[in-house]
Amino acid sequence: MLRSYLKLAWKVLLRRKFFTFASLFGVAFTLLVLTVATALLDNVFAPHPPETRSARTLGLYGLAMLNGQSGVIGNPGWAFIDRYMRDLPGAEKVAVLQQTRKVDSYVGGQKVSSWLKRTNGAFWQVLDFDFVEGQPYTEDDERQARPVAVINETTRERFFGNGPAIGRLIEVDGQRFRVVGVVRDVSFLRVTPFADVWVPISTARSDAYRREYVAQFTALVLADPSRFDALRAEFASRLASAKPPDPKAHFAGALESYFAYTSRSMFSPRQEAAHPAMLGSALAFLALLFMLLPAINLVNLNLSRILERSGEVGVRKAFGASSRTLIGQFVVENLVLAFLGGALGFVLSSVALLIINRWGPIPYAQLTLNLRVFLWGLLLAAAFGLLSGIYPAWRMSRLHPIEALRGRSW
Amino acid sequence: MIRLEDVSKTYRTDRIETRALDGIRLNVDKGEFVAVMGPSGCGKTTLLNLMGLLDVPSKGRVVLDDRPVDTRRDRELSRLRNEKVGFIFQSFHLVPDLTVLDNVEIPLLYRAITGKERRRMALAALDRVGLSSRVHHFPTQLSGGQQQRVAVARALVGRPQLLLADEPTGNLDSTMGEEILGLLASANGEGTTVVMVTHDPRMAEHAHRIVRLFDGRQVQ
Amino acid sequence: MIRHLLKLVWHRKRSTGLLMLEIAVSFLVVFTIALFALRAGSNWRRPLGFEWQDVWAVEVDPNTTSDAEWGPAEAARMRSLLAEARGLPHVEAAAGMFIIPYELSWANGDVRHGQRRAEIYIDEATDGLDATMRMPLVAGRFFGPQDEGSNPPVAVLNRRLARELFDGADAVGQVVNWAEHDYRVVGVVEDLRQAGELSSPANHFIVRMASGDAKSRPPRQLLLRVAPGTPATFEQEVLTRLAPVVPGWSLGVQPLSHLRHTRLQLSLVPLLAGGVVAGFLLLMVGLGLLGVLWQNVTRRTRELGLRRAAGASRAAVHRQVLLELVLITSLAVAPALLLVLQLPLLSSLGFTLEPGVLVAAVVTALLVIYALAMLCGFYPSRMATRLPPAEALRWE
Repeated sequence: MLRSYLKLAWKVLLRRKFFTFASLFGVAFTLLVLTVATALLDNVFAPHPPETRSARTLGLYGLAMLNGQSGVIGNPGWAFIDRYMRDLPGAEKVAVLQQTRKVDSYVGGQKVSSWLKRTNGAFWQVLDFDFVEGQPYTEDDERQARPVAVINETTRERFFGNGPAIGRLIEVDGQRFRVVGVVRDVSFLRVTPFADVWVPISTARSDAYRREYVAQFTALVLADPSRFDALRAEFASRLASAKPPDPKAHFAGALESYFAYTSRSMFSPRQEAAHPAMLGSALAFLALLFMLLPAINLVNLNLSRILERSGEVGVRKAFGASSRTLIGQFVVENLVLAFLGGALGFVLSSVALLIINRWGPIPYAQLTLNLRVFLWGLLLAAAFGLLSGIYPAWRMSRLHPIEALRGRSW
Repeated sequence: MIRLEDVSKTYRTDRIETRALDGIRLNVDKGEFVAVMGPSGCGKTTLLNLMGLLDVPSKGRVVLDDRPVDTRRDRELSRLRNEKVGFIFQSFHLVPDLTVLDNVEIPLLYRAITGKERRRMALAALDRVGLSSRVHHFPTQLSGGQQQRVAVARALVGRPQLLLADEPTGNLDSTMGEEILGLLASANGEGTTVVMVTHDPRMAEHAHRIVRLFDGRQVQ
Repeated sequence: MIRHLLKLVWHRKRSTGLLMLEIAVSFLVVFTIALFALRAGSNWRRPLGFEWQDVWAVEVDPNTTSDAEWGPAEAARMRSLLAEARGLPHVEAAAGMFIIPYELSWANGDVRHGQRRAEIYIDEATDGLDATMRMPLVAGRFFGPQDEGSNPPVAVLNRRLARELFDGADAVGQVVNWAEHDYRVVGVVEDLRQAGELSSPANHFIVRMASGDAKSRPPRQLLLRVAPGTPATFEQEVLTRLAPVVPGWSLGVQPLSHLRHTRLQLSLVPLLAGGVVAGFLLLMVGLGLLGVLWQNVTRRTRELGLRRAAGASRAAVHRQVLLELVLITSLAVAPALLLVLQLPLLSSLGFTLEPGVLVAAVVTALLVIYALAMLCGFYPSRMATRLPPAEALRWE
């Protein structure tokens, strides 16, 4: 049955070229936009290198110090992490990193702007960077405040041309560092690990950061997922009994994924309630909102096709097709269209991503279509096909066979 | 084969009530060839639609194969139509997007038959109406007579017990018309019950019995 | 004729309903994009209130964590940094500022004068900002060294704020209240728009930063006006000259044009992406509309043939089909238009909208939608009158 449906759908599509073109254009374009958006989100949130261990990582991304209606809201500070995040049960490593900052250097009189990130030594064990040469700096380097740096390939090229960079000196933010490792470029969209140059936190020019509770750090805890509950519970209890510098205030924050944190900071800026599902729902709503116009368009095209095909509907009914069978036939026809359009949209979006990667405004963008994005695209195409196929199919099945045969629905 | 018991059919629109059929009693036996005649608007097509279960009577009942059809469920009616009834229309009603072969396969689509078997049966039916050479043409590439022959093949392919033809020769010249009628007669000779609506007395001559309708009533 | 066509449309409401919904939604899409684009365009033509060319920004980070660590020693170092900057070659003027133009952060609040209240953006700057940024003065004077220690402290308003607080009366010399402190207005500058060319006009309240005062907030950035044609290599020179003055502090230099570029990109990229997407959406809607209308007309060949038989000329039928389309479009757009005209009610929620821009966006959207409908209706209406009436009547 399904095979003959598919055959029929294929024939109908071939016979009505303008209709097919108009529908395919709509579907392909819709899925192009959705796929590009999905690829962007996938690039921000999904486990891409160097964040391949994100299933085994919990982060403290946001921290608020609240006092009644007022408060300081930001990221955790070094003092907080140092005081409350040591020896968490089950924690294998704790990476501490500062938010990336834009700094300037001068290479032969030319200004070079780079993104600088200060991290501890464990950072390189929690995250999985791809080293082209050399190796990361260690926890000992951090303790001794050795002026060493890891740089990315683009920075190596900017400062040293194509040659090896290990052991050479690089001057950023007015300080000199010895290069110990070179890693592949990390996309700007990977907010947590992204930088051009990574150096130990302790090389900061002032140790003022050591006294901050709410500042610009992030802590990543590497642990076995089975220990996550215990970890979170321990952290929550430490948070509850923590003593902020302002005795009337209290801390708010949680160990969570980057997606959950993004959702929380969007829907609960004061970091109090957790809304991990809300960002997902909001994205789904936006996708549906965007699909609204294309769906109405396709429904309209389908409806007028059905009226044109009312004779066919009449014949099929006369020869024993039930309403349900006809709905099935039509929905399959529409799904075929949606998947064809989806495939086309997929090809187009790979071109669009290439263009964005090459000429777009995102540094080191590595937007790609992977299996995950493909599956999302498939799901969206199916949702779109159903959304735009069910109503016309229902209308079609409701045609009275006698009226349909007369073909005079006007 | 099929019996109409006191069947009336009324169409209602917002204000007007039209009585298309009024108290029809009609019995068609197995193997009969019945012609239904009458002036335009007398309810011939409505009668045929009721017999073909495309419509349900407002009053009275239809008895098919000694079993009263009392269901209004779409799936039940569809199944009965599919198994027992074949239709031929005045304006052919071939699906323009499908080839001749695909058009003939339509009634078989809604049965549990493999694609291979469907194809075999459709080709046999087309062979019977003399169109085996045109199976991959589209309806628009055929003449009116050829199109109606395809329609006959489609009506017969599922081996229905009851063949309903609504002015099958209305859109054709007399030679073509005779040809189509010959096909109906030969199907009838093989045991298929045929009910044909026509207003052409020469066509009606081929029938065993003529039923005349006037203004929704049977006059003979 | 219109009545007749209205009846026709009404009787086909089920098949035209969705078509109308599609047209209405398309109208809203075009309107939204037009609104943002026109707003950006109208803002672009407004006076900016300063000159961004040949201005460099020096970011100053004293690496302290709290205001408590900002003592008289730090204030003195900041003062000598500013003095050193002013003394650099190529530098014509320099000033310190808390939040500089094109930056992505802002400070807001409200200012009072008697019963009047106005929402403001707060700028804190040292003396010399007017010369550095070339801000045109409208009335009074900019603050300067003579205001050191003045009580109440002094402030400068932009023209929009002065109008809002004083209705055209002279603002200079008046005392206003911000954050529970009094400030004396010494001057009014042209309508400053710190967020850049694409931002909407806003009220700006410029407070004098007492650079020698350890109690006041230190500048985060220095602005240097350099002579036109100063080479970029001089940026490094600036750093090497300034860094020894403030050991332990982090400094960074960039031309204001970079910040401006980033800021414009931030506004234009979404607008551009939205425009491209909307353009394709419109193309898709156009193709769909063409298909639907074509189908509609083919299906009605008989009706149209009847009209021809009844004596309608080819042109009359042609006109009728297009008129019907105009009618459907108007019926679809009307509720969307009503919805859109409620937008000014949102102004209380902080969404400011000029009536001119709103009207222009509505007109643009109307033009685009009607043009699209006509374009898509033209070919099918030609198709409808192509057949001679006799054939049209036989058409099934």
